[in-house]
Formats: sequence, structure tokens, C-alpha cells
Amino acid sequence: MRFRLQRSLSFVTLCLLPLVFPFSPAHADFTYGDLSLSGNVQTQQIFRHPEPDKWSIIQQRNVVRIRLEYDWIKNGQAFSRLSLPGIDYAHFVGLYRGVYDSVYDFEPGPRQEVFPYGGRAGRDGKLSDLSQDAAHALRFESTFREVFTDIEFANIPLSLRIGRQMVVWGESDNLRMLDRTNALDTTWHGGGVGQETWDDLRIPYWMIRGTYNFGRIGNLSDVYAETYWVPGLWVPLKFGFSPGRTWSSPGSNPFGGSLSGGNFKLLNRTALGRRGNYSKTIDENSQVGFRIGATTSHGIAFTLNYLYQRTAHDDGVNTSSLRGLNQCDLGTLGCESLIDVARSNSDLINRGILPAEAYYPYTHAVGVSASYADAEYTEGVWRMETIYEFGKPFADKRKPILILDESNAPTPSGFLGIKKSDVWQAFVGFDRPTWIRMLNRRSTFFLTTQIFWQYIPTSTSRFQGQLSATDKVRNWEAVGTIAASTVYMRGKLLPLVFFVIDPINHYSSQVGWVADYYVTPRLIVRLAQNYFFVPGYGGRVDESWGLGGLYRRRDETVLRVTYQF
Amino acid sequence: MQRQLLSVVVGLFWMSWHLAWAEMPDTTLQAMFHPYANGKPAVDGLAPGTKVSQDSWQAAQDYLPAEILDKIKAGELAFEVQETTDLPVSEAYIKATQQHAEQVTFGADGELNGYVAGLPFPVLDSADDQAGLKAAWNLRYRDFGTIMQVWNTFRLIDESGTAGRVIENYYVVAYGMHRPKMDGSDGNDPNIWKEEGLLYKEYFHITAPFDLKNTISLKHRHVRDQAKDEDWLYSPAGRKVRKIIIKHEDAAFDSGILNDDYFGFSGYIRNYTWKLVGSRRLLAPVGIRAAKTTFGGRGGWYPVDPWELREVFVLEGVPKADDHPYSKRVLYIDRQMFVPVYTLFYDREGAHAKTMFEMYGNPKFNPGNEHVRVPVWTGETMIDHQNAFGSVTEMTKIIYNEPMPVEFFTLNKIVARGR
Repeated sequence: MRFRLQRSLSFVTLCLLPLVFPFSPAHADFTYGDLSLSGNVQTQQIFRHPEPDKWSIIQQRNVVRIRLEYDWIKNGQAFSRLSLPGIDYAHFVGLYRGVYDSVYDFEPGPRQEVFPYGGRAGRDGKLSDLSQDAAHALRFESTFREVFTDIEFANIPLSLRIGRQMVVWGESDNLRMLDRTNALDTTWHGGGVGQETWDDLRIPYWMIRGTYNFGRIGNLSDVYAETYWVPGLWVPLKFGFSPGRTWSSPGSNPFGGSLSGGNFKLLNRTALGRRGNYSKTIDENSQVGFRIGATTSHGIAFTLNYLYQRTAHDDGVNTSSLRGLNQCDLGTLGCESLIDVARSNSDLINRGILPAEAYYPYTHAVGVSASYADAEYTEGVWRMETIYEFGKPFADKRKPILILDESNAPTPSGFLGIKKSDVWQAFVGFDRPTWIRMLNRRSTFFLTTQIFWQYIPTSTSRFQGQLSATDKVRNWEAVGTIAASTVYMRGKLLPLVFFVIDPINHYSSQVGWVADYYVTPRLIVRLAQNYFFVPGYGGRVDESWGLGGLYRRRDETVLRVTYQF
Repeated sequence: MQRQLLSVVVGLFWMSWHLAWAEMPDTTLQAMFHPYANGKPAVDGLAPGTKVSQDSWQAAQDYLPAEILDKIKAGELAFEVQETTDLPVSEAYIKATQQHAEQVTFGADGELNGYVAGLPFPVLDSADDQAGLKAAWNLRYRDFGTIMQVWNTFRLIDESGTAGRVIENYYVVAYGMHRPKMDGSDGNDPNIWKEEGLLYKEYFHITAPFDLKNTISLKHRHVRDQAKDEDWLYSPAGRKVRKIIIKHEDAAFDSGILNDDYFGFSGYIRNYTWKLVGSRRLLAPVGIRAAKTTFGGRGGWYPVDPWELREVFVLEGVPKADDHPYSKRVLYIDRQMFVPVYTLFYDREGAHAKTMFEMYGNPKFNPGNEHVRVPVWTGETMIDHQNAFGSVTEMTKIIYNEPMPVEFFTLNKIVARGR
């Protein structure tokens, strides 16, 4: 209790920090010459309402963000004192995020529903089921999300960014194809499109990034090359389960209920969402990317991209992050029959260990992105992006891991075999500022629409989807999005509406809206809602995009209050 | 016969030499760039120190547009009168005008032929059918310096004086073509962006508040008026540089300042029908003796530093598009600097809807810019009378003509600096 109080006090201190600093009222943030300090304090409540009369609060999150920026080298002078003639400019950025999830203090009910939202399997625990230690472990976060410095050289057109950072490539919104350098932390929110920023969802990595400006080459202008290297510090998709993280994955912990008590463990000291069977060294856990970009004489801006990285399993593809490993090799001493193989696997399971390891293999990926502003005819911007990834891991039903059934006969467990396949993803999008004067006489609506598709050039009949035993992996998948935003009340009211539809999986859909109201320039109130549905279909829909199938009964309303400085 | 031929040859040579080297007469330049050389304007009842207000506006009634006078009568605005300030533009610009103005003509495509640098049309006569169009081109090629760097605060203010949104930003505009050739050996190339055909590039970087911090936009304005701007936006929320289309009749932040409206007019000349209404002697908030404008009056929207008598052109622009929010805009352009000092906007029904003031100061009172000879910007305000609302740009700091690397204005720089 004392520890908890101390942590709470430190959080309060951080929240008040900006208020005790003297500052110039001429600035919206705190600026002292080349140094600026800014940030916000935010509280967010999320209410879940699977039915109109069934509401429960599932999140009460309090966040403080503090951002420090400093021009520490200007015109070759570091700190205005030390001459560094080779460097023209350097800029430091530090972004701190402190979180206090106060929902773990009052632990509201009721039981949360989880996928597939039916029968006993559809009901999960309550927050109050968490032990005090478990709740405490989830209650706080305190981290420097980003800490990096930009360095621009004086005599060569090279810029470096060194430190903990994010790299975002590509042209799409919310469809992560070339934007896959940083894996996601879905413990922040599992289905937060439209509510949470990707900045909060991405896991920043320590890395070095360089951009070299070639200027003009022939008919191409703004030619540049960019590369990054994550030296041994990559981490995969992070996720949480109900009831502890009711806003994360829509399911209960699949590793729960081992015979030894507690959760099942994995082989080779691997852990899902944390690490695979590799050491966190430069040799085994690095990640690189390279792209060149340019603009043609016709105004088409494009990039050519190459990425080499471990599979994070966060791009919506129905890949498997578990690779089964039989505990004995058939034909070796003591492992003469399939029963021996199954027995050794079952023995392991009985000891609370699954015969599998967390699996994050390296893949090569190549991609292209492009955009073109057609000011003449459509008065909009056309965007596209495509990526081809080699050798992604899928669960293979024909390579089962054997275990013993109740009659001691070997039976295949279909989830743990792995077969690799290439995957092609692409999208085309169109943005247009458009007058809809009957709704807003003074400002245009920004309309943006995207069509996304995915193709697996392998027979997928042997693949097993990850959501359930009936989940199929299809060769073709597609998703469409449309969004509209505008401004009212002289910049004080900013509404956004959006709609997402998956035409392959029973038109599984999501519709949402967000409205930010600036009570004052510093105080912002946000109200937002997300609704998930499958029109005209009451059955279960296995889809991995997080729409009306996977999130069917996770309609949510968000109330957020932010004070920024 | 030989003598006749010789005369023809000599005559043709003289004519071609004369055409190539024709220069604008000094008297024309004097009238345009030094209108106060023979004495400052003086008007009975408007001596320096005179207060113009709700209670004492009579002496000023012939020296203000009726729309602004109405606001004074209504008590929305009051100011003192100061002596007219001589604010010549740069010698290089005047010299370029002298050298090149005579050869500027209109091409069939509506673009200028023969324009090199300086003011394209220093002679404006309202009896000339093309005088309005010429004035619009003068506006486009006014002396803005080579590079202007501005740190300012943009406030959206309601009638009570309360700001609903406050946005701090760093704004740079750099001209890359048709710059006057500077003296000296600084290697100044007047047409650094000739290959791309770009007149100027605008870089805009929001520095506060937190939710918009590090939003960056880049605009390319082409020399050809027929060519459309190119715009890019870096949003920290998306962390990507996106190409965007900006509608000129749209207003950022619902501020009431259309994208066409900045600096009085910053749109495409071709989209308007221009008419030079005439020239007048008017009071205007020019020659401010401070680095930034003081705002006051109703809502804190108005420039309340002393105003002075200026020689002004009145230029009317009527949008060609039927669905444009304005029926017309009337620009009051300072003759000496050729910058609009205020602009009146009229709605589709013809009613006066908005007033924009652009304030330019006396460089002697602007630390660091004492020797600058371009119009020194000290603030901007757009007053939306119909919606009782003001959009005020307050200056923090401004720097003119300090060299910056060309790479600063490239997309790659935004890619590298985006955070």
C-alpha cells in the first residue's frame, strides 16, 4: 500500500510539473531560447456497450506526456560555446509518457464478453478477479517513448537520427504495409482505430536512421535515400488479454489453465509478445530498411523500399506466432512410434509447457509507394502502396504436433505446424477536399477513401487461422475505408466520421466518429464512439482485421479530457 | 541610294539598341517609389497626434474607405495620426524596374512576356483597360525581399477578446526567381529555381500547441500563373509527408481567412477579373514604430498603432467562379511598397463581410532590421464582421534576407526533420 501511494504521488508530481515552472505567457508551451518544453495531461474513460442498455466502464486511463526539444548545435556551435565545424545543426527530442490506469483501483464489473461472443466461451472474467499484484503490475507505466537527436552535417547532405524513435513509411492510413518498422503495443488499445494515435500504439526502438539528399538527378527532383538499422533491440507485437486488458485482444488468455496451475509456458525460454528463440544481440535481432524516394517531372512522388526484419504478426495477416516442436524425433532412441512422439509432447503439456516456441522469423519485403496530386480533373490526391513479403509463417494443418487424447491415442493438434508463404498486399487511396455546403458553409470536408487487398499466392486450404478452429485463411482478402473530417466553430470543433468494411467476410464493418472540442486553446474534450457490426448476418465471423466479426460486441464510447501546455 | 540604305541600317540599329536598353524614365520611378520625396502629405485636421475615434472622425471621413469609417463611428476602432513615413523598397528592385519594366508585355496565354525583375508595370492609369491586371501582376512581383523568416502567433478571437485557438508558428517564404540582381560578390543567383519554374517556396512549421507541434507544410508557387501550386503536409500524427490539394476558397481552422486571402491576395491572378478603381490618399496602419503591431478595439482585432496618410491604389478583384464566397475584394495597395494595407471583402449579396489589415512598420524601430529596405511586416488581422470574429497574427520576430541553404526548402528536409 505504501508503495502504491508513493507511485501515485510521483504521478501527481509529474502532472503538476508544468504548473510549477515559470513561463512566458506569450508562448503556448514553455520556451527558453533554443529549448522548449511541452506536453499534456489527459484522462480518458472508455465505456463498452454491446447493447444500448448495457454499459460498463472498462478503462480509466490518466496520462502525462512531456516533450523536451533542444537545438543543441546551431551553425556549428554546440551549446553556443563549443565549435563543431563538421555539424551544422543538431536537435534533441525527448518524449516521456507516464500512465496511471486507475480502473485497476476501483475494478468495475461486469464480466467482459470475448470472441466468439457466445456460450460459456464468450464470457470472461471481471477486473476484480485480478489479484492485487496482477492489478498493480498493470496499473502504471513510466517510460521515455522517444529519445533521439537529429544531426545535420555541414558539408554533406546527410541527416542522422540516433536514439529511440519510430520510422513510418508508406502512403496508407491505418493499413500498415510499409509502416511496419515499429511493432504495435496493443495493450494500449486493441481496436483503437480512430480513437488512439499510432504514435501511442507503436513500440519505439533504439535505432540509427540516415537520410541522404541527392537533390536533382536528371528529370527526378527531391531524390533521397533513407536507411535505418535497429541494432539487436527489436521486440514483437505486444498484447494483453481480458480481463486484465479488456481493451486489448478480444479474448481470454489462451495460455491459461495449465495443469500445473498458472499459464502454459513455451519452449526455449520464449514468450509470446516478448521474444522468440534468439538472443537480443546485433547478430540475431537486428532489423534494417532502405528506401529511395524521388519526384518525377510529372509530379509523381514515389519510394522504392526494402525491409529485412522479424515478423511482428501485427499487419492483419492471419499468420502464426507459435511453432510446434516435437519433443522427440521419430526413429531415434526411445522414440520409435508416433505414440512416443505424442506421449513426449503430452508429458510436456502436463508439466505446463506447450511443445512450441514463440516464432518470429526474419522475412524480406520489397515495396513501392507513390502519390500524385491531380489538381486539374479530380482535384484530389491519388495514393498507392504495395508490399511483397517473402516467407511469412502460417499455421499448417498438415504438419500437426501429435499429443495423446483421452484414450491415449495420438491425435494431431493443428495449430502448431508451420508452413511459409509469400504475401502480397496493396492499396489505392484518394483524398479530396470537398465542399458540402449544406453541412458546412465555411470549410471543406476532407474526404479520404482507401481500398486495400491482400493475396497469398499459395494454396491456403492447409492453413489454419488463428482465431478459432473454424477460422480459414483465404487467398484473397479486402478492406475498404472512407473517412470525412471538417472544422466548425472557428477551429474549436473538429469532427471526424469513418467507415470500414470487409467485403470478403460477410461485410464485417466498423463505423465510428470522433469530435474534439477546444473549450480553450489548452483544454480539449473528446467524445468518440465505435460500433462494430456484421450487416444482415447473426452468425460468427472469423476475421482478423478487428471489425464486426472479431470485435462484434465491443462497441465503445470514449470521453477524453486533455490539458495541453 | 547608298545614303538611304545607310540611314535605314543605322535607324534599325538604333531602334533595336533602344528597344534592348530602354529604361523607365526617372520621373516615373520617382512617382512610384518615392511619392513623398517632395514632401509628406498634409491634410487639415489630420496633423500628427490627431485622434480619430467615434467622437472625432469627421476630419478623416474623406481619407478612409466608408466601410472602415463606419467601424470607427461605431466605436470599434480608434487611432492617432502620425507623420507619413518614407518607406522605399530596395535599390536593386528599383534599378531592376528601371532596366526591365519597359519590355514587359502580356502574352496570349495571360502570362507575362519579357519580365525579368522589379515592378512589372510602374505606370498604372485607371483609364487603361488592362490597368487592373497590371496592378495584380505588380502585387505578385512586389519587393518581398529574398527570404523572410517569421515567428508569429495566430489567434482566433471572439467578440469578447477570448482566443478560441492559439497557434504559434515559424513561417519562411523564399523567392527563387525574378529576384533583382544584388550588387556585390555574394554569388546571388536571381533565378535559382529556374529549372523548376518556381517563383517562391513557403515553409510553415507549427511550434505550439502540443497537439499540432511539428506540423510542417511546404508550398511551391510557380512563376506561371496558369500552373497550380504544389503543397505537401507533414503531420506528426501520421508521421508522413502527404501531398495535398488546397482549395483557395477554403479557410484553415475555419478562420475566415481563405487561402486566397493571405497578404490581401495570394491566389491565382487568372481566377479574378481585375479593375483598377483609381488612386487615393488614405489613412492606413503603415510605418508602425515598433517591431510588432499593437491590437485593440473591438475584440482586440484592430491595429491601433498610429496610422498615417499614404498614397494608395484601389484595386478590385471579382472572382470568376460563381460559387466563390466573395462577390469581390477591394485591395488598398500602398503605392510606394505595392503591398495591400487593407482589403475589404464582400459576400455574394454584395455586403461588406470582412476586413483584412496588413501592417508594415518603420524598419528603424525593428531591432535587427534597421537597414532592411523591403516592406517590414509587423502583423495581420482578418475581421469577420458578420460572424463577430477576428483572426490575428501577432509577430514575435522577423528576419529578412538572411541566407538559408536551398536544401531547407526540399521535401527531403521535411522527411529528415519530421518528428
